Amino acid sequence: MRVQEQQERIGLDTVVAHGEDLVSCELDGEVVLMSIENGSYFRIDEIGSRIWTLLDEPRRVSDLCDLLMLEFDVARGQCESDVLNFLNQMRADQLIEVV
Amino acid sequence: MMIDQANPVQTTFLHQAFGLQIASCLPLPAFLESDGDQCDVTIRYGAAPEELPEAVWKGVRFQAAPGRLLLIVDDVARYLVRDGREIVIDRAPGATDDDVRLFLQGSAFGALLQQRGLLALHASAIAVGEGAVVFMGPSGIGKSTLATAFHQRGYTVLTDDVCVVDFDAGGAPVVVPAYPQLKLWRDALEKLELDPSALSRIRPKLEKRALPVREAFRTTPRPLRRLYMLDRSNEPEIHLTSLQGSDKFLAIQAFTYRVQFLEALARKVDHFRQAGALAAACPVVRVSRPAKPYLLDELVARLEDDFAA
Repeated sequence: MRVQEQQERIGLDTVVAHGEDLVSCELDGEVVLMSIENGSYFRIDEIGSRIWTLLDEPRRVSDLCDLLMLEFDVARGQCESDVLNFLNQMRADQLIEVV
Repeated sequence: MMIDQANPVQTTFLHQAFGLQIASCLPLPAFLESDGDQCDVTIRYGAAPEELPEAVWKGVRFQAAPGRLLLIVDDVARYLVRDGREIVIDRAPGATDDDVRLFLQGSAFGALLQQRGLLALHASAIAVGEGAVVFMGPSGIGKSTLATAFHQRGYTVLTDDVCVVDFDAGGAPVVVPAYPQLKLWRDALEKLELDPSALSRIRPKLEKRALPVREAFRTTPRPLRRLYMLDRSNEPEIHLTSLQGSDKFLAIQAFTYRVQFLEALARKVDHFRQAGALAAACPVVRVSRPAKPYLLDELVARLEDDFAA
């Protein structure tokens, strides 16, 4: 079951949130994360950090894009494609979970 | 000096270092003496196992179990560090006091400080006004040389190699002075125009010497004003660059003292929070200088300008 979940890509209707097994800190608008399970460190750039902060609560990806488009000057198609790429990478690193 | 009641054959020497009161079976002349009103740490001779039976971490040089870290130094000693309160030294035959002291004051105390939940950096530090500035960097980059150069210009040295950073009641970072001694290789002594023959070796066969710097040393913690990360480059000039964001965190993480103990001691989450709090509270400046020449006088002048600003 778990394996099957991993293979499904995150789409616009998927609801995602932070992984639970993480600690984070924010420095000058950048977020640094550490996986408690394996001790790996991750750094996220400024826009990624904003996404991370917005995922303090579970959100549908399309809602997440709506919020980002209010803050950043980006077309919807570009925003959705960038966000989906980012979230799928975050999920591969086990930093976010599908709710 | 007093006689230890529990171990009547072991003489006890009372010291202080890293903000801790220490009762030790081995005299530690680099540390300050103490009046012995209280005791935070006991160092005694005894049997240390060859292996920790419940080890959650087993490496060649150290093993760890909850509350315990066993440090193994071939032909010197095994050190069992317990609960941040005790170090048991099991000496190897033929080891000298200097040998035993070197690893005690380094790695064994590094483990003990971590067991006490303290953030320790691989760094030297000096007092600047009422505060402190810290020079982090890898071995051989010139942390002690730089601290000595500041000492020669009248600054008080707070630590040479292991810098404990604590947080005051308001959450602001402070440097806890370690002990007033610098350790310098022969080439550093030459750069600083100091006479090696006037200083004792830290180990009989090692060309590294101890320089006591007790003048004006105080054990009171000082507000941490600035962290410098010492680095070399191929460029001919000295460059100072303020780090931002995650780079500040990663510098503090990289120069945490005995960072390999963190995972073994289940300290990674606490350490992450401490390093994050320090990165948020304190400027971090990368200092790159040419590998050769050292440009020591110029480096000191540039740093003085920077921390005075």
